[in-house]
Amino acid sequence: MMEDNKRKKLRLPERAVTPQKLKLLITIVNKNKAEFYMDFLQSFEVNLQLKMNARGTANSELLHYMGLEESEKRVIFSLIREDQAQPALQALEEKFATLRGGKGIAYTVPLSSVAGVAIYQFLSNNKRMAKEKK
Amino acid sequence: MDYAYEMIVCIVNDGFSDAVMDAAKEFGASGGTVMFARGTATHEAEDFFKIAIHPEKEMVMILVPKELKDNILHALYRSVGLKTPGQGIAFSLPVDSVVGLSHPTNAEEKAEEET
Repeated sequence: MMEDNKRKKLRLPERAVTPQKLKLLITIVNKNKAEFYMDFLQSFEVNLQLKMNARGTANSELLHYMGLEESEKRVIFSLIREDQAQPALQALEEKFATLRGGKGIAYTVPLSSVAGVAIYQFLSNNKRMAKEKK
Repeated sequence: MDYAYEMIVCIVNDGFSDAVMDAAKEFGASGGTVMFARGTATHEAEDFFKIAIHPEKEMVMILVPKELKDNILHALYRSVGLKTPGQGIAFSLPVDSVVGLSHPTNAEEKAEEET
């Protein structure tokens, strides 16, 4: 009901597409698994990903002693549409648990604003919106 | 909105990431991720504030339950703040959901107790 009133006030057509918000998905994984996770995340309609080298600092003295510690990490920043964030996190969680040497952390940070319509369409993979514009 | 976790980002001069982690661990953080970065302050600002900006930086990301956030930010300010050789700034961002943490945190334990 609220939505309807809001639409009338703003004179938006009934079928206007309500834009979905974006989130920044941050995934931290071992260096050799970064490519795999980037490919994997692309299946969640992610169009832009950035990766960078990083170093983990968790104190796992036992692991260190046993020489098992892999502190060279890759951080992957992916811009993901809100509705895809939860499925992506769940799928990542499963991969973290099952993949050998594929453990990692992933979390999302909400974005408050994006500048530029074309950029938004690109980041949210909103093909319909882009088509209507043409 | 009520978020259970916060991501603390601390940007310090090259070589001070250990100091950042020491300060954060003292207040309950378990680990962090360090990335290398380059700062880009303007020369006028450098002259005005009478500080020299060392462009090589380290950026430390620490994921913490929100209850720990304030203490850690204060600790970072005290130990690697702008007035120290680390010349660090720290801020935090809300985190909606997390997967992959190995230790159940206080927030999760509380949720389990409630159910």
